[in-house]
Amino acid sequence: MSDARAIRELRDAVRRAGPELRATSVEARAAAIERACASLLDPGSVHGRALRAALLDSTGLSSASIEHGLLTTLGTFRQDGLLALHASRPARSQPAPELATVVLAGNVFSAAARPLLFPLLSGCSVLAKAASHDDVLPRALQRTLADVDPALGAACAVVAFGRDDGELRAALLEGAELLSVYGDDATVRELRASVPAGTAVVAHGHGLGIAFVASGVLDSKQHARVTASMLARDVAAYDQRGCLSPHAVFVQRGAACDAQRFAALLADELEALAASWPRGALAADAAAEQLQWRGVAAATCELHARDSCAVSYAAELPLRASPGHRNVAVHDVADVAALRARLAPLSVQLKALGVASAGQDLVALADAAPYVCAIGSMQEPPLDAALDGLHPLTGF
Amino acid sequence: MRDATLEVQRQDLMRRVMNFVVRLANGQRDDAGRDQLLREVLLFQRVTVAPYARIVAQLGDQGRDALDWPAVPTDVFRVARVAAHDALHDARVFRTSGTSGGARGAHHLRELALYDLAARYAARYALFPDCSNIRQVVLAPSASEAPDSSLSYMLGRFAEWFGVGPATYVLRNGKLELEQLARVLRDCEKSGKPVALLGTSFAFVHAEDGLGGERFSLPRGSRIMQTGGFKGRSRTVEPEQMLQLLSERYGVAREWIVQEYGMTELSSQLYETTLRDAALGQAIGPRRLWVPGWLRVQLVEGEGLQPIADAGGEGLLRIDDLANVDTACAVQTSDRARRCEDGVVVLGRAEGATPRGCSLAIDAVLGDA
Repeated sequence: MSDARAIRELRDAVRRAGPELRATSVEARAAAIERACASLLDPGSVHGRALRAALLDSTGLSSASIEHGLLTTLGTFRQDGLLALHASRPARSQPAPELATVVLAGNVFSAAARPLLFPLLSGCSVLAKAASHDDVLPRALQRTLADVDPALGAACAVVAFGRDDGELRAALLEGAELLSVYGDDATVRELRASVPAGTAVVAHGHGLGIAFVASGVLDSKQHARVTASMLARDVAAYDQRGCLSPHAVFVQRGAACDAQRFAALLADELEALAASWPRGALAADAAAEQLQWRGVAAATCELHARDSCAVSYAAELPLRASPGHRNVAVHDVADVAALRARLAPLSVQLKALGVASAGQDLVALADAAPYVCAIGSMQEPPLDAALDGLHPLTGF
Repeated sequence: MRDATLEVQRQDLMRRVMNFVVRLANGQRDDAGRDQLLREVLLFQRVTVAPYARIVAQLGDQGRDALDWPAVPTDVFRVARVAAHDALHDARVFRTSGTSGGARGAHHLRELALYDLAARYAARYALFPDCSNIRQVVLAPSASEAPDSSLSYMLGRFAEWFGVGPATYVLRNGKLELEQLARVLRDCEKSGKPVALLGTSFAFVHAEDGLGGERFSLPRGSRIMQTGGFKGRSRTVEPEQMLQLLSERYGVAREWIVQEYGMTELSSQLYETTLRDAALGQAIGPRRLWVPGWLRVQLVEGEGLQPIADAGGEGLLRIDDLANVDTACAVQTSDRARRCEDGVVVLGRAEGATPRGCSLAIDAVLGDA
């Protein structure tokens, strides 16, 4: 819990720590970030142990899911990669801000790492507001940074409160130089209207992922199974609650294993994956959304429902947002051009496109979403991925 | 209807369900008889209602007792026609309000006789147990203004069944006529004759906000029925506070203020019990929804849809409404509820309380995709 006075004091403190942060070389800052992430990645370290225990409570994810999230996120924060990213940052026409105010989303626990660490890498103090139910990783990062490099730790603070608390929000936004917002459109709109005139706002809106499977990779049952297995990992990561999570899979017509068969195969692979990578428990509201989604799928198309997942074969039916939690739809599509037409209405909400293709489709679709990758890595973006179509250090 | 045999079966079921409703109109129960009849209707619907047949085939076990088959989730009424008859035979189509965005749910009624019977007897039992002609003031659109609203239709029928002349509608073209409301209620005060105030919860909130310091002391026997949630159409008021506000505003004792639980997808309604208790001079039991005998209400856990047997257990509300012969009796809601004695207490909608991921705000976009 935070109160307005505490928020103001924290903001003043991280601002005061700014000069020392900027006096530290970017190499040293990158090294400290790598050390902090490595410490949290180590399940035997004090910080790593505490983090895992807290995440089990706060996320509802299984241990295996948490481990995957930590590894594929914190594991990317390596000094060399950070320095390369820093070197590639866009030129600024105005002086860099000294303080970044960051509003984090609450859907995927590891999504806090980039918003918190990139400002620090850039020499910018950061005051982060976490979702009230999901402040575990940002707080762990702050504590660990303070241990490995007090200059970085002092330039970073985390507060948590509910989105409806106007008094605390006002305290958070007072004197904001740069506001970086992760959240839905309403949140972005509301916060943009609340900051002082002249404050730079970088919005990271919500979105989803889509997967495309070209007919060429489904030429045999074995290839189809491998493809389904890779895709299952993308669906299962974070129990499909992230901005990059695939909600729908488009399978190109003409394959030996068609979309209808592929849907069954994907359900099999998701079910098999659940043995080593179980789905987290469903909260009541998530269960209600799942039963509505599955009910509609069962009533209107073919559904492969399992304990831990469900895959619908929806042919050419309109896209529907999945409730997450490993419920995904498989559709038919004629070719890449038809795929683009189906994706067009998603506009900026489409954050990730996973592509399974033996040919040139990955290249041909490179501009179809901010993050385009081979399937199996949709939830493992590299450090320099422009997840919102912007360089990751934009604004700092 | 596919063939004459099914039509005969349907007519037989309609007749028997109507007789059953009439037999239980005064609150009696015959759960074994209800379940047997329900079983037959579910079997009939599995043959005649295509979306239900697909749900049973894909999510249920057709070898099991029909009573254990999965219900039709309410979202299905938004995307598929859930009916045993074709559109040519629709006598009336009720639609959901559509406040949550996307397609509106539709309930296709082939005839209104059974709907009317269920609505009339439930209201007579729980809302008008002590009177058959009472002045009615309605804080909802009239049926002529909102022909696809099941609530407006039902309230229109209430005026015929339980009213003294036409009801007074104070919500017209989306605008609450506050002066008219105040004038009518002052008139009721002067006449000393009770009045029934019937409307949506959000309309009552708008009245609350608009009436300022005006207070009423409605004659003894006056009553208030509010229904539905706030749906983003007004500020949200907690149930307990709402009771207090309404009681103070209109001078109606709390037990004479009841919530109605109805859904477009159902033909029957559930009412809180306190009004009947008070009107008949009975001890006032805990505030809960009375379940008419022709309904089966179950609480199910959300993941596996297994019924929750605990006396005070909480779960998602599933309602099997025998009066839905032509559509789907078994309806799965997203409302959380808990058991309370012989009834249920609805705790609210189980959606959006926690993030389901980044997709929360993109349903509307996907609707076009």
